[in-house]
Amino acid sequence: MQQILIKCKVAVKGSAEGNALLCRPLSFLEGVNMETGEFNENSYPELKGQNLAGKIIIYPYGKGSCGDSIRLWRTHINGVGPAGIINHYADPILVQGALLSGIPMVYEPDKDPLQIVSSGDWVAINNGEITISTSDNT
Amino acid sequence: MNLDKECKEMLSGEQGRLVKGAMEFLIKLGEAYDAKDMVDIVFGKVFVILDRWGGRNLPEDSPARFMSESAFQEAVDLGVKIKATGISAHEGIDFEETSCCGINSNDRERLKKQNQLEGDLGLISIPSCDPYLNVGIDAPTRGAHMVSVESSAIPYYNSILGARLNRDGIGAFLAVLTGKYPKFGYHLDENRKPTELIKVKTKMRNYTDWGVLGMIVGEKIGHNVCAFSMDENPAPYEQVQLCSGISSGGPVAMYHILGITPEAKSLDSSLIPDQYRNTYEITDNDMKQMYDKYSGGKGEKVDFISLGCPFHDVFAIRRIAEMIKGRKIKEGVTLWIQATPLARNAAKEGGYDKWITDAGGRILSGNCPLISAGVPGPVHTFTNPEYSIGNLVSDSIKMVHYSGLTLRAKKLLIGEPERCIDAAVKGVWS
Repeated sequence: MQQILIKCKVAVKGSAEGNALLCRPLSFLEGVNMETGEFNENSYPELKGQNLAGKIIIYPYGKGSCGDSIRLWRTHINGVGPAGIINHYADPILVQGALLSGIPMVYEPDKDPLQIVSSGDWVAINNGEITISTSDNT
Repeated sequence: MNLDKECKEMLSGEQGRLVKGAMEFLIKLGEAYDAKDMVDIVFGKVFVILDRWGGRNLPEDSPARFMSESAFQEAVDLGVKIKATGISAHEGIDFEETSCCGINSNDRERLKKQNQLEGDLGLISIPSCDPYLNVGIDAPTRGAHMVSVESSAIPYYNSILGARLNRDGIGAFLAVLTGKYPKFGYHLDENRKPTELIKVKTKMRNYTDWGVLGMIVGEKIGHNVCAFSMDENPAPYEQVQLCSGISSGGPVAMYHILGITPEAKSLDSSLIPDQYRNTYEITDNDMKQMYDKYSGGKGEKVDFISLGCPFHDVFAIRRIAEMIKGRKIKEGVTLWIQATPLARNAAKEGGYDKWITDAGGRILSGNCPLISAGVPGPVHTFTNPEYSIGNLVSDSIKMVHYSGLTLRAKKLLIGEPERCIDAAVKGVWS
């Protein structure tokens, strides 16, 4: 077990932890069932069977519809939202959804977590700091 | 953050929970981007969260509680009015045609009530995703600070009209309510300059092509601003398609077309850098690859045809009506044509709406299958695991891009309007 610390800017304050889920630029309207938190396997085939619920989602940026601000909130209200969000770039649409939901969100990491973290690793966000616990075989 | 007297008054709570919560939210948004000041917002296209998604109760500790129905009612009772001019749109509903859109009477009444509360606050309901297209509202002038929640409208306002806005969600309503917005992103000069250059080396044939081009570019440039170098000067609806594609492919809020759009009219303008960070060439092959993603092959049976995403303007509706005049849509095929409110009214007044309805199609205004509270619509899809709209055809890449999930469409088929109308008549994709 190895621990790595990454510093980020804070979009939404708070602390959260959970298993990491890595993905491409994400559009909720294109890819996430708001009722269940499941990914649409046609749009995101590599995430088939995966679920947002309770995850720390790590991806470059949100994209697409402005309604994603409400769709993120909707997953949260339905109890299937992510625990925390780590992005390279913070799209204001997503920041507004995270603010509305109280989901901790950070961006502009000083090291790229997409190069360090594997899906399933344990990740903790504490305001501007991310702690990644990776297994030794990575 | 520096707050003026107005902001401080709103923060004090004397204008009620809604206004206080709105100001607190906007300050938090500004802090996320190290904004130092607020700007005055003059115009906004917004949506309001009140009772959205079926009137669920918010948890006690929800940060969204300041937007509860009782907080809205309190604001109305206190005589609160929005500080900027604002228009709102709903969950994709055509109030004149609810019977065909699967809107039940409860939802209809709920949304009417919401309309009324919003109206009491001073918002005007204009059910259109591209309200800058001939609906009789004043376009924001160049340099005006504004907000919008429609992802395709944002690059249009920034790029074509030269107004200043970010990609916003619920914050847009809060900005119109308070008249304030934190100064960051595209409200600042330095973030409006292009860093990517797009050389278009392919011939655009129709507006569908412009949407496809947008999707390709949006996927390449992500959150950056690009400058297009090309021989073409797209017409307004072609720009609408470019905007909708580019903002679906990436979180794109702004682009320039060298020599054409207002902030890139002069090629020696200080806004145009000598050297771009990245240069991309878009070729026939790039276009073909994107079309191939949504082709599905000839001979496929078609079930649902949706034209007008974003909503069609008066000229497109007239043209489509001419294409369909005297023909009949194949039994079992549904044809919906989404129009701006003005385009639908013009079709009714001109009598050519009959050419579409006599053929078995419908002109809708306000309704959007991607966000509708009715059927087809995402809530219905998500709560009915067996539901599928079937094979879907559209003249818009945005519609096909999103309907795989929201409408559980099986085959996604895209083509220019003539090809879509042919498919409606024959019942197969050709």
